[in-house]
Amino acid sequence: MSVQGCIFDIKRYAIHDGPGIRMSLFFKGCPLSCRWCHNPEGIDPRPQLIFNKSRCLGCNACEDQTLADNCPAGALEFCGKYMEAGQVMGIILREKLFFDRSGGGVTFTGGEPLSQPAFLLHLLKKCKENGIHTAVDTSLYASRKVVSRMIPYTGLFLADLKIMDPLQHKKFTGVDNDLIQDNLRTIACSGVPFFLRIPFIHGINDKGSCINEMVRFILELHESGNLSGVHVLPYHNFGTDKQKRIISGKVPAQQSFSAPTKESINSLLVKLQVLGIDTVIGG
Amino acid sequence: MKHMSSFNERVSHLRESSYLAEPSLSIERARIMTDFYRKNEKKHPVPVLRALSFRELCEKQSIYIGDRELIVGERGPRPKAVPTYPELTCHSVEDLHILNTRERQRYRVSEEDIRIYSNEIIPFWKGKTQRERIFSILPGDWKLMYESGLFTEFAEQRAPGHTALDGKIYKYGMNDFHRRIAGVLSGINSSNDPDKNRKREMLQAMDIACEALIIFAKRHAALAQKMAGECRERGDRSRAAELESIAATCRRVPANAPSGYREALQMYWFVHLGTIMELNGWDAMNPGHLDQHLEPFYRKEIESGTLSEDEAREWMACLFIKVNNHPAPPKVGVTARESGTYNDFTNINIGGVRPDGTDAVNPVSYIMLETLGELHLLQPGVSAHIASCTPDRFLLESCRVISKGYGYPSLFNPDVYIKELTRQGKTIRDAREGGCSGCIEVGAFGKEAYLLTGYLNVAKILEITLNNGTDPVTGKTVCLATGDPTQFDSFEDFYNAFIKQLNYVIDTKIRVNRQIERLTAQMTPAPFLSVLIDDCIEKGKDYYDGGPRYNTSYIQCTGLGTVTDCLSAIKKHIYEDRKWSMKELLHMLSKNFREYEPVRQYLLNKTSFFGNDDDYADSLAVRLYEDMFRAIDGKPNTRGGVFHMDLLSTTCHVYFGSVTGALPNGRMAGRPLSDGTSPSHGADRNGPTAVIRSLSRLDQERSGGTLLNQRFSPSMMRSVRDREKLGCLIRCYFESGGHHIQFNVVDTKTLRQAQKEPELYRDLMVRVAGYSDYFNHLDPALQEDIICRTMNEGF
Repeated sequence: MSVQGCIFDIKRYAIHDGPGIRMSLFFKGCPLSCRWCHNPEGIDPRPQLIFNKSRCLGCNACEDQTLADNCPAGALEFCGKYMEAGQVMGIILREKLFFDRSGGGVTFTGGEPLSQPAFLLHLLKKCKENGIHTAVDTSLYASRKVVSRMIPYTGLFLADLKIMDPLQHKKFTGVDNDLIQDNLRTIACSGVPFFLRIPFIHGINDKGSCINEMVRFILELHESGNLSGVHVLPYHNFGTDKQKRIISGKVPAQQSFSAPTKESINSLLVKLQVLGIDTVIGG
Repeated sequence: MKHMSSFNERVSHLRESSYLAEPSLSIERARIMTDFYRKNEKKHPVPVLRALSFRELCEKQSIYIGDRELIVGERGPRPKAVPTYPELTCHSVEDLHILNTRERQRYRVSEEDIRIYSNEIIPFWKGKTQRERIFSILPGDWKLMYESGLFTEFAEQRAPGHTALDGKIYKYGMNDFHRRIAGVLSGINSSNDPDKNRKREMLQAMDIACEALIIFAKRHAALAQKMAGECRERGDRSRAAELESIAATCRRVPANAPSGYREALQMYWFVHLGTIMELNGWDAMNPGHLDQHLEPFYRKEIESGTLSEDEAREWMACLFIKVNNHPAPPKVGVTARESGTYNDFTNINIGGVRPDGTDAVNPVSYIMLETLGELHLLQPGVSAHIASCTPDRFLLESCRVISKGYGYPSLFNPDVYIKELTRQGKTIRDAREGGCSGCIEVGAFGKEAYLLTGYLNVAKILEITLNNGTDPVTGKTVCLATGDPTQFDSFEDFYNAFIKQLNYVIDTKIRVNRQIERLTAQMTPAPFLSVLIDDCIEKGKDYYDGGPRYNTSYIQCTGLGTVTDCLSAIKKHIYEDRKWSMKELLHMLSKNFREYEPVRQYLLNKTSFFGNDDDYADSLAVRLYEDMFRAIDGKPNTRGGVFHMDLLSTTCHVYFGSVTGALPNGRMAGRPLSDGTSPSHGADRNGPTAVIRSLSRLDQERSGGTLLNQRFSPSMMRSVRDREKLGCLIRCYFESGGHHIQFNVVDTKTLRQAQKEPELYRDLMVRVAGYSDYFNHLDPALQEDIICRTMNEGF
């Protein structure tokens, strides 16, 4: 039986998304719509047309046909493509040499990989069969059942921790955070190592009270003994540019934020390090 | 000074003087040689004449001992004063003016010296130079091809070189070689060898050369002794003691084998100077595996307490600075364009394996790596050799120096190049003692003359095939009529025509090369160099005449990536999809895609290109590689050896690009070709692992070297963890059969800024080909070329 999924990017030699040399597979579709999302083209689950105006030659090859394939300069492109799991595994296996040598593997990211659970589970199992390490980079906004099914086949979770306040979370990401926190506790107890990744944004989660609340929750998760560390990811605004290029399907609402101050980054860093939690700026 | 944190004041001073010294031309050598030839030209057989002229230089040339120097000796009267070699190429007055005024790679030369050149030097050598002799024998078909930019010729302005030494000069002095020569001579005298006379002449010449270098060293000893006396009078006792020690060293080496670490370095340096004074061989001279050669001296002296680690470092820095004092002899015309740099390609090999196959990394290897990273000078080039048995620590330390962004060390794979050498017929031991010199070419150090004969413009051959033997840039018919491409029914027909043309061009080059080889052997033998390379003494034959144990000729193929991409475009769009006819394609190429930008973009964006781990293009690259190999490998030269294929381009891909019109991969006329075996600029879009997978498809063991440039953004190797991953990437490439890889670690923003404000980026160094250069010394086209190399960004 063939399993299919929608992928919008494959990056090789990804070295900042888990141990060793990795391949990052970007799953299309995400139930969240974070206002600061740096991959806004990954939110809509279906392929979308992207138009990169700076590359357009104005040749009108796109006028009578809507096929992006006709655009000679690649200014008009489909973002997202349905792929068979077998085809994806073929690409993954090409990198096995590098995975084996470096202790690397595949990082499933997106979008939200858990939003295509059958496809993800299939690939996780195949990777395991082939001795390839896996990491799932996720918001953890998925049913508890879905998360539990992935656990036996996942080598590492890279889980987001965004905002502790439920109302603020709903306001800026579009979803509640109780399910996410619940899943985080599940993961923490599952025995699978995990990193927490905090998108750190001025005016969203860099206030002293927000930091304190976050640190408290992290400490709770840390007690499981499976927390490998925390990555603090200071905000950058690559996403807003990308969002403007989306010309079909869902165009998520985006907002421009500013980067947190050095002091607030340091304050978070120090508070976590004091607790003995391995914390780094950037991934 | 910011780069010199761990070095003492002496080294900082010497480094600064070397860095700031302005390259200039010295006409002293030309005057001594001219006077000598005027008096002696017809009196001696050529080898003896060459040896006597070398002795004359050693006796008469100015001797320089710089303030606070520990290692002494210069090729010219002062640092960076480069002599000329009128017996090979006599620069014209116009050449000298160009050298004095050109914007890049300028060599200062005074009006007075130009006048002397014009009155004394140029008239004497008219009609007698090696360059003129070569041009007089060149046939018309060769000239047409050369003028079209189908290939270059290395012997045209410089002597063939690319030599590296084994360990013999650390075991034997010139007196020992003298005895060995005497032994062979007496054997010959009592034999019935029909070649007796020629051998005797050659051996006499070698003997004179050994004596000459001793004279050169003794003159240094005398000067040092005199300066020591002056220092004492001034009350500078510490410098006086240093000078006395220099004098003592120069009395012992090179006459005798060195007895300690310091003498070993001075020994090498005299030998280095001897070879680059005798002739202006390409790639200067190269100590080879210097860390292995110095290791026994280092260990012995550290143990006995006569040398500290700091002193070992200081002396190593002094040697590196000496190499940096010697810019390449100035080239003109096409030759300046194929290798436009002050760098003279001394490529010191560190790490790798010992002759018995075990790991060779030792404390001296780390001292050299550290010296390289701290000195931050243009020369020497240092390459780190990473075999499967090389410890990770050495690899990581190399990656740390690489991450500083000076473009070195470059990385080589002994596991593969040893197989390259044994495939060429070397014994396993000789192969393990071998390595890479110049850019990336392999040879058996101390036992081989492996001569690079010139670059081959494979893309131009494709262009000419598309035009049925005519060069569309000049309109001249320069090659075979291989058929009107619009009449070909299939890609196979086209490809076969291309390979026929490829063979025709290569055969022409080889045919003429054999004649040039004979001229070099007859007219410019190198008796001093011959002393150093086995088995010249035993055979009584010159380095250029089959004297060495192994005798290789290399042809350096340029543009593998570009040509693969062109073949891929033609196969897919013209013959499979029939998107355009061949006629339409040729029309668009002839217009340089003017008014056809969408087509050009389509070619660029919708073609499978080399370097993406894509079987469509990669299988064409393999096919091309194999066909180039078949066209070159195994064809005999005149020195008892054969031709082999080498894949490097130095800066020649820029020159070749400038004479090549628009190509089917969407490359516009005049733009650079792909460099070495790297993918075309911007063609590799799947990151370095995909590039490595594509490159691994080539059977690199059958080449004499390949070259892979990768550009990384600094964010890709900032942390120790990043560099560990880089180390894994390198290991993977080498385990998959890669010969060489090197990295530029600098972001585009910095390079653009350096173009705008060159004064602020005087010491910004980048990797060019098999060497590093100051970014602002590069020709603008080459600067652009480096900026256009695909950059691997962090995610």
